[in-house]
Amino acid sequence: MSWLGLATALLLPWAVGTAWLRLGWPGRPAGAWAVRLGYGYVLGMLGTTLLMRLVDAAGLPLRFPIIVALLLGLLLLGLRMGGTLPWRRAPAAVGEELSGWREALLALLLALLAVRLAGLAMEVYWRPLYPWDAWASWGQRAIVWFHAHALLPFVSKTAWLEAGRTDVYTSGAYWYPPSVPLIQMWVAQGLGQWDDALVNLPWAQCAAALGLACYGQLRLAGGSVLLAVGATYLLLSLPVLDTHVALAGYADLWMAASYGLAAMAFMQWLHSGERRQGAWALLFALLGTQVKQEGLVWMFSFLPALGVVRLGRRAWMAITAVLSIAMLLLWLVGGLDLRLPGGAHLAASFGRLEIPGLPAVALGYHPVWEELTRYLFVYGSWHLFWYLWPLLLVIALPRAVADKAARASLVQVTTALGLVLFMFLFTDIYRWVKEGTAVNRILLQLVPGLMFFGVHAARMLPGRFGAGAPVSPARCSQSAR
Amino acid sequence: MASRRSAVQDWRPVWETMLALVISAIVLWTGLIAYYSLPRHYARLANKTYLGASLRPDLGEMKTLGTDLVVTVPGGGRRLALLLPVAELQAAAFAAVRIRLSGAPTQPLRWYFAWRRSPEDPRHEVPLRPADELGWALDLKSQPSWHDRVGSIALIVEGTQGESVQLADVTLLAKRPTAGRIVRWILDGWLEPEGWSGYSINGVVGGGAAELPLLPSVALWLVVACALLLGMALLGRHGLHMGSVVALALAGWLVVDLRWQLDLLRQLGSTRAQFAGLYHMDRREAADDTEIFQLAQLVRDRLPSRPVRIFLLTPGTTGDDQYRRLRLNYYLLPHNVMSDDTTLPDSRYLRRGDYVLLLGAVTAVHFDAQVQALYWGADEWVSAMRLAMRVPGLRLYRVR
Repeated sequence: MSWLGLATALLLPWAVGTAWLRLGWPGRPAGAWAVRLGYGYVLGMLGTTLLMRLVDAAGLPLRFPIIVALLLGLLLLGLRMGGTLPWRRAPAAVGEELSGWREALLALLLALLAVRLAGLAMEVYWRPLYPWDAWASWGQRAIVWFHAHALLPFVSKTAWLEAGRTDVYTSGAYWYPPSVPLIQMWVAQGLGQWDDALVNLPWAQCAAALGLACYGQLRLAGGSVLLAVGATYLLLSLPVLDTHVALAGYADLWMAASYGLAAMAFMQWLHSGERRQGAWALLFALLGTQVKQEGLVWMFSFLPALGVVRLGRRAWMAITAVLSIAMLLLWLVGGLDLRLPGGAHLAASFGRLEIPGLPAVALGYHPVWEELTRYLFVYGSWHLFWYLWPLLLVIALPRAVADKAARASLVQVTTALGLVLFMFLFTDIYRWVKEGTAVNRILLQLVPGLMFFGVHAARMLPGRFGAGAPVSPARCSQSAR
Repeated sequence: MASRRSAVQDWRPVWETMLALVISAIVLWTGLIAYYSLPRHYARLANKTYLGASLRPDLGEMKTLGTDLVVTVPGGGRRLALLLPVAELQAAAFAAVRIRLSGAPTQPLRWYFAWRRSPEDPRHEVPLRPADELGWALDLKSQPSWHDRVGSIALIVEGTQGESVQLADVTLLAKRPTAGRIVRWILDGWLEPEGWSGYSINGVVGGGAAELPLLPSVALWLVVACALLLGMALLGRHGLHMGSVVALALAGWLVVDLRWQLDLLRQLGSTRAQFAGLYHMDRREAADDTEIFQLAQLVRDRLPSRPVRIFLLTPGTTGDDQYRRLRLNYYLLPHNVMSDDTTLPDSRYLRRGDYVLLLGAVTAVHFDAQVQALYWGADEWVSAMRLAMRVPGLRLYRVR
């Protein structure tokens, strides 16, 4: 077992991602370092899995030194390109002064975060793959690929029987995207052996990266250190998220990170107009599609918000009219069934939906409100998130609607939540809600973005409710006279 | 002067919030104590009921029927002890014990209630009295040795040999509680360790889920505190300070999070005790399903080092069978295992050099040692060789 190899596997992708995120970023605004580290880690690790796929597709063996050499090349290139840019020496942002209870609260929150992350990292370090799908679906491919030094195909049982070869495998989840097993394979390659516990260390890093990204983006948005640390604490203290770190091996944390980072960047782009943030939103949303199939669904959540920004009222009315007519026609003709080029199939009716790239779903209303209430408001998976977030939304709604960027952000998060509710209430996924197997895991993928939006919305609220504009002492004394 | 006023203004949201939280907590705890002081409510919170199936007999295995335990009396002067799954409890909290049967016995039975305070403590044993046709009971308050902490409890039964009864449950009936005891019960429920289970990856149940869940209780606490803050704001005519509302929410969050942190730390302690300091293979040995890992190691010893195709069959494909076959599949990797069936596919899919592994009482496939062949289905067969395994319930064949 090589500790140097392990350190390389854990840190090199992070360094590459961070180096590339430095490019084209003038100045060093407050929080930029955290954004670079947070986004850099997720980009670096998921980028490494893409690189491994490229190497395999090129017919080269998947050997650790080959990938390390390529990553080192990318690192040097990133550093060189970043180093030639003149704004590298721009002055750092001045830190803000804190005093009184704010300082004490900040210290408390930082201490809680440190204890949480350290504890979770220790749990990952000691505990072998534990939850069901981690070993039955995801880890299985990682072990096979690690030993074969190649991305051997996983196929359906029928195809496996037909193939009759020892280098074609089968699994109950053969169609899952390969990124998560590749992360485990990468760490195992660094170690020089398969280890049920250590291959999961990137899950602890992913949580830290998510926290850094959340903190950095809030600082970039003008939030105070206390606000940014507070929001990061709220996010990283969520029991569902913590569980997915401690019992590492599922893809949901990576999906939450990639979609969360995309949603944060998207909202920042809406508010600041920075193209860089827009590009990151697109990049991380695309990376999400390589983590889980849901990534493709979450891509749709950005479209209506883009429409709010880019389209005028007339265009919206036209789209609404076209969609209404399409729905009416669909209802009148009883559905749509199209064979697309390349063998893809698009079918839509009020009883069934089939979209290329996604599993076909039967549609029908399934009232699982009681289960949803239990998981969100009674059980302890989310702390007070689902009590506070809707409340905040209602309070902030009038101001959010008045501002175009905030309105688009609101459309983005409500579209994402609408998609989830549609899945829970109208598709076969209702069964997972009833069994309690997927409801929290699917919501986890959205929550980093929702949390970021919630904190943004909270910043728009007035300092006081119900007292009107502050009245100066001078005016008070005048009226008394 | 101005800076002093500013400091007071700065701290105002803090002390206002603290005051609201404290008053709200007092209101809520008073309400909870009053509610659970009513007998029908405290019984639900404080009585401890153990279903028959959860009891452990000292004389081998006993059948269960749903949640009942089917108790068969040994007779011949011998007595059967049924251990309750009790870790430790405060004797003073309970006034009586009651057992319930699902059907009346045909022959008379004698039931005894026995307990020990510690392993060194001598066993205390008292006969239960019939309460009605299907129940026996005992007043614990009158028992001089029923005090302090009780470490283990058992029911003892004696009667005619072979007599069989269904034990539905055993209930320890709580004393009418004091305010302190109600607070203790509620806190015990909220702080009860949850630990990791197969469900954990899907969600956390959280404290007190059975009777009084922590999360809605904290939410209610915050609602009352928020109403108080609003009242203060209206009385003081200074408006509701946003910082106070945020502090309120944060305080509630911290409370539920401290409980979660405590649970994480307790779990980390267990994980450390189980796995710390072990290398990869030793961790597999130390895992909860070590016997499956050991089976996999025995199978591996019989296989070549290069990956081979293995048809892994179990009697069923759900429940325990599903877990065992998938776990064995995992431990056999990188061998190429197909493990979601109870029988073999068409013989044309089996190749020379493939392996067939039968785990448990698989009856769909059988081996004829004379002709050295595996048979299954209507008339499917393949020439095979049995490889010696020293483990009952595990059969391995190589296709020839």
